[in-house]
Amino acid sequence: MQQLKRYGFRLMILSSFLLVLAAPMRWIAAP
Amino acid sequence: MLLLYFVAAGVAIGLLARGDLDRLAAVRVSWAPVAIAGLVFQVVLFSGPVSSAVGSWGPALYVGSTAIVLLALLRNLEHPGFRLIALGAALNLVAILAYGGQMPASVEAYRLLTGHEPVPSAGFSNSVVAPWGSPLLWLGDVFVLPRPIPLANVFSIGDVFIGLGGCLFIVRVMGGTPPART
Repeated sequence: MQQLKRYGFRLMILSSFLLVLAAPMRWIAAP
Repeated sequence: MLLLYFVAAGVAIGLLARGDLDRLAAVRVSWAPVAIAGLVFQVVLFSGPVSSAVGSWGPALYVGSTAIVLLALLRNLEHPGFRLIALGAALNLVAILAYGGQMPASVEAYRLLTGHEPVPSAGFSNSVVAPWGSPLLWLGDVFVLPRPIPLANVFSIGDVFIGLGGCLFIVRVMGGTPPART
């Protein structure tokens, strides 16, 4: 369980980098 | 959100190649809290009430927070795939800066994604719709992951590099040499 948390955390860090730099929160002209 | 497919693909390819998730757990990423804080900051920045309130500060806050996260990424270039992520991020940032702090998306890509004409957003958005032929638009969101595919969105060539870099990072780390046990 501890190990699961550790690599889950690494994936979260990586995803944070990717999500900020690729900015898919492009809520373009959301009505 | 195309990126989450790249992350999932990285884990799947890593497992198929008999990689080990435990090696992923052993990776040390410098300035990791900066990346997480940057994501939280931008989620708040683009939430309805805040995006309406930031006014003309929006582009600066967006570009500034992205630049800080890019700086954190550059502290980790020794990791596999991170140079590819940095290249993609730089391409995106060039397009964003060229459009005054917003990522340009082509009208055609927008129509293909939503099925209707662009409508102006109320608050600050990190994206702006631009007609085909606008300068540097080719670096913007000109590709479409169409509906009904989950996480449908428009995306850029930089996003593809970023996704491939993330996928490469996971695959290479999972298949790498296990860290020495002390």
